[in-house]
Amino acid sequence: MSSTVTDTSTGATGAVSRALGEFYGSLRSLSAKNRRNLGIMAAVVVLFSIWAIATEGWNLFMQRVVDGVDNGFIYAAMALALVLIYKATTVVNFAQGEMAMFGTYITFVFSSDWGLPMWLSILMAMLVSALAAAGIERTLIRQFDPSNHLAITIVTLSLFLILGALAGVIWAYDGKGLPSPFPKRNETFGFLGADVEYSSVFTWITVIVTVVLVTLLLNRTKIGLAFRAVSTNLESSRLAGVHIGRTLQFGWALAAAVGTLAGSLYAPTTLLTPTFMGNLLVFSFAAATLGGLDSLGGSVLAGLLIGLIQTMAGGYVDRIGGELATATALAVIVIVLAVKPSGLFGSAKVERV
Amino acid sequence: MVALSFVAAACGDDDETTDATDAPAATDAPDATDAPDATDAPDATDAPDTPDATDAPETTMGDMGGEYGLIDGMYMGAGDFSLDPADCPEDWDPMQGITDDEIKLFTSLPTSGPLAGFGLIADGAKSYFQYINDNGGIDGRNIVVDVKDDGYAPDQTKTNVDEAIGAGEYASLFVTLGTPNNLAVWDTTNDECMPHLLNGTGAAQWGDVENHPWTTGMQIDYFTEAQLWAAWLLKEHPDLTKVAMITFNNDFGKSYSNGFKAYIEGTDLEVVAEELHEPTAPNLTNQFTSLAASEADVLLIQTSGAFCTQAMGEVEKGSWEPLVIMSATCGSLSQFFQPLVDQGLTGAGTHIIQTFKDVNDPAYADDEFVQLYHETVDAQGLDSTQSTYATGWIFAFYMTEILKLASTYEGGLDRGNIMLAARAIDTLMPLLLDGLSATMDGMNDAYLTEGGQMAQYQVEDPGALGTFVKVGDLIDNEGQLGTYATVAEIG
Amino acid sequence: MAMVTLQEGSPKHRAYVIGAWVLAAAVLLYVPFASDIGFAPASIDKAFRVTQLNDVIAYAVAILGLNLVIGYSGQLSLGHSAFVGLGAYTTIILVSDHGWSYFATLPISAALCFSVGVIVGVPALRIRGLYLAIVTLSVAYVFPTLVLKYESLTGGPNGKKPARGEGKLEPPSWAPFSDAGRLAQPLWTYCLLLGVAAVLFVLARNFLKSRPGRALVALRDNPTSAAINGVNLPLYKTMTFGVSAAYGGIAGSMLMMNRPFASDVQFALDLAIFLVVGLVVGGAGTISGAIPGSLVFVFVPYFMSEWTNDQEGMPPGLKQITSPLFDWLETRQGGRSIAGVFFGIGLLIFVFLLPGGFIDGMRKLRARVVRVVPNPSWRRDAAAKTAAPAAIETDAAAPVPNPTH
Repeated sequence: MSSTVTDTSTGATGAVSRALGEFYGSLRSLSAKNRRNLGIMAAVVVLFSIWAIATEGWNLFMQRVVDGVDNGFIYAAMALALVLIYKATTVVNFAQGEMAMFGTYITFVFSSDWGLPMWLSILMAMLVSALAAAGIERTLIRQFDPSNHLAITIVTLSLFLILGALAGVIWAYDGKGLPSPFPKRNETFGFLGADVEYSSVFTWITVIVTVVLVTLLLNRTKIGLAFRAVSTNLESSRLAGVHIGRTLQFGWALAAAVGTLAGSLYAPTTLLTPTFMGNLLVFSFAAATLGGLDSLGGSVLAGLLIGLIQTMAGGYVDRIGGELATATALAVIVIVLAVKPSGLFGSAKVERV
Repeated sequence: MVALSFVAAACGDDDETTDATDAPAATDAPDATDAPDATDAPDATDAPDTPDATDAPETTMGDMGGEYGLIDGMYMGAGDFSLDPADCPEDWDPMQGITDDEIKLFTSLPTSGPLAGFGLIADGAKSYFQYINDNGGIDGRNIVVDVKDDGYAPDQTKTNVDEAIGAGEYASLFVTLGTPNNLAVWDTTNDECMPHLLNGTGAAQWGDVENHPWTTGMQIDYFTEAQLWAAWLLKEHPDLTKVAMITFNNDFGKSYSNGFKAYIEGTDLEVVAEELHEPTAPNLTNQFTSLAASEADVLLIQTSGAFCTQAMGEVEKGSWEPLVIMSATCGSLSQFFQPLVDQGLTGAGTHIIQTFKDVNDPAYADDEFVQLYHETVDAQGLDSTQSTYATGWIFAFYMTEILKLASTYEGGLDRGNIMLAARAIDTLMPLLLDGLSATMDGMNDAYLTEGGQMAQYQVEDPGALGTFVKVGDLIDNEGQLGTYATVAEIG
Repeated sequence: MAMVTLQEGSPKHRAYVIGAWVLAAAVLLYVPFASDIGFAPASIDKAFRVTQLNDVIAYAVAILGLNLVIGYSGQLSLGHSAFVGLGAYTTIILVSDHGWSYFATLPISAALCFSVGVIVGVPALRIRGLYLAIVTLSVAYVFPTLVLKYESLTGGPNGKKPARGEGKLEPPSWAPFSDAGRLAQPLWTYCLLLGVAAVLFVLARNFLKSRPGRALVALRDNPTSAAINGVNLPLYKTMTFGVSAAYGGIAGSMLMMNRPFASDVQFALDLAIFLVVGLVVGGAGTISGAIPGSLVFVFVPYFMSEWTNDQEGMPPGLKQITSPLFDWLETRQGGRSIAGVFFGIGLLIFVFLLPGGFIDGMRKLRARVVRVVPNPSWRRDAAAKTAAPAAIETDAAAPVPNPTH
């Protein structure tokens, strides 16, 4: 979190505005440092847009923007979970996608088998996954020294294998249709020439609200403070009397809950299968990294950026087409990282040796 | 070109297919009906379209002993097809995998991973073989199948098949699943003279009798399925000319694409947009935005699995309203349409080509074979409404017929005669739509079934599954496709 | 306390070292000829077992290469599936389309993968930790899509293989097993691959004992002090990435020598992940760990899959325990996926019991039996000639505390 926030403002309005400040703080720091680069990027974007509109018209351009934003928010939601885990453990949690998948199946069980309303199902599934993740942290992760990255990585790989296969055994591989939790599902409205789904807009709002809430949780609560302390400097936190294990457990639980939410928002746009998070995960990793890994708002913006690059490159550049859109998006990330190794919005402190 | 390519007969079920209509299961078992004794089957020669006469699987084949089989050291089969054992490896054993009381078969298909659902084909096949074995087997020989998991990865299929060939105890491969998977092994199987029968994929290559005599398919290929779409469009909807395609970026999707494009050359039909997608695409939103911009009249969904469902959903949610034709691999209501219902959509209006009767369709509830299927499978402790088991039954039925026919050949049941029989089979698969037939004829006809029926998915209650309703006439071009040489020339 | 104490360089120690090498060589030569290993449902023919052993050798080389990056220079690479794939496709394309011999393609694979590795390694200079992981992950993710995109070259989704009847590695007539029928070709491949792998293992050992190798370990353990001590950080890091990628490429070529068929799914992300698993199971930062790691990589999933489809070949005791479970699973559509659950649980148990990997565990075990007392003067002499295995193992400095010290 690069913006400096004091604890003086009170009340809901203050909290939200503070969170929004947090959200844009990273943007401000970027423009301060890299105005010239940003200017070049903006010029490229503007030129590309003019060219795109000139070639295939305004409506198609707008539709692609909406598509890109749509995918981008889903990437962002999952990236949020990854950032939380990374801050907590500093390892790649390979099982993050499978945990989200499993959580989404729990949503499915609540809504389909128990007949509960979608929203209640999602909230309950988030709670169940948070508890389960806390249990996993306690039994499997805490046994290892946090610096033993390879052992923890293998634990997450094992979880990846176990959860993926277990979901296959329990729910089989036929796709399940998870309904959208929002009103006016499958209906669209016209916006500046593009068709926008109502549920898409609700999804965007939900992701933004989640970012704000998580930011508030981290900044306004004691456990949040401990979490930030631990993710900034483990040793100092230990010396300051922070209960490391419990704090990391909190990180796992929070990440699992956010992952389940992301999965439950993504599933209605596709089919729920034991492998459905796999393809999303690469983009979410990319969004988390591009966003700088320690910036929640940054990962949302990066998610949008990746969604847009993918859509635009695939839609407008013939030689790329649908097939290489993904490769293009990833190539852009590699280039960005080569120029700016801590991501677009990350603070330099995350650069670890 | 077009004249040549009027082989539009093809339509088919395929590897990914489970033609299910998840309507109330028709398992009203008539207590009076004894399970048809399959060993009686070869003698029965009743008309195919009188269901009450079709007591049992039957073939129209007479006793071919003396005409075909191992004659003067050469395997001589129907349609000028012959095999020379001298071309086989020195240690080739015609009786491998065949003993007095057992015939051992091998298959490699995905029983784990995302496509594990297709693994049920093997369980369905085992179920039918169990039924045959309980009724006396093939002249007292039980049919046994060993299954290995390849997770749909071609290199793993190759590993499995190499292992099976090396093991030296299998008479034949059958229902190996997937186009790349079978292509990975077919050189080996042919070099080793291992019958490689009834591949669970609809690639046109399985008709390559000239170069790969030991390999056969079961379903009609995607290439000609797409040609059938074109023929149907030209006949039924001459006003619709602009076509858009969403295509799986692999051999499967491109077969459809090539077949359709080859057929429409010189006609009014025109492909105005085609979007490819990768197997790893998170969704098809971007592709559909481009396709909708083309404002085409017709959309061809040339993909499979969850992508079919997504594609139907994208069409339904958007403002673009093309006529939709979808790969027959996505015909399963429970697998591909039920998720749409759960999401508040329907998929109504989608067209597909059907080849086989749906065991769950109330319209066939009185069909004797459908009843036999439900009784037998349920009695074995499996869920007979899982229509993939029925697909397994279809494969196993053909395999059984091949083994029976081979037993009648000169020299008796051996691997050479199995291969001759696979290329001479002429049977009425009771689950085929009435009017279609399953015929192979050596060098003249290397494809089993070449016909199908266009059907439209219609929904009355948006909250429940609908049914497929026939649109237009059944097309049966049996024998017209010839061999892969024809297809290669067109495509 | 160890039961036996040996003075390094003493005749007893020499006998111990030579004995260990002879034993290892005997096992390597004996195994393919006595390859009725393990429980198997169908009567397994030896030829197939030898083919699997050949896979083990090839993957061991890939894991060794990965270890250079992960175990020795401490960077997490998830992109090695792409290098193995690149090497494999290089070989298979040159052999199938241009009539090259397999051996002639090895240097090309190595050079190509080295170059690509260096290119990937350049961003790695600036990017670390998870950032590097995502860059390499992207490489792994993109490789199969490139294979599909350039279909005319790679064969696309149908894979690439030599024309029918070609591209076989026939043993020469002087080989004692040239008339072994079906077994001859896998055995000959085994000999060739073993030879290539031996050279690569020795090269890796020498590389790690050399100045760049020691610099690498210094880099991993403390980059700042390494830089202060004059280690050329960018150069070594990039070179390591290149060398590691070259090992991956050669491993890919070796896979093709064994089974000449390449497909996109074979070199997807799963391979990268399983290589990391193999590496950690064997032991990060050890040379010999590549072998147990590779054995696990090849055989554990194989037997898991075998037994879930057919319990015939299971060890008798295990079969009694698991048969009710399998009977129940039989009725479930995704039931056979249980293999993945077992593999994952096995991996968890393993990492809890032997967090340092197999080799580390073996060393701890060995330390209870044999204790080698270091003898610096002998070691100097020996380093001038060739080093003995005990010295290598201790020098190769596993990241975990080495009990033999």
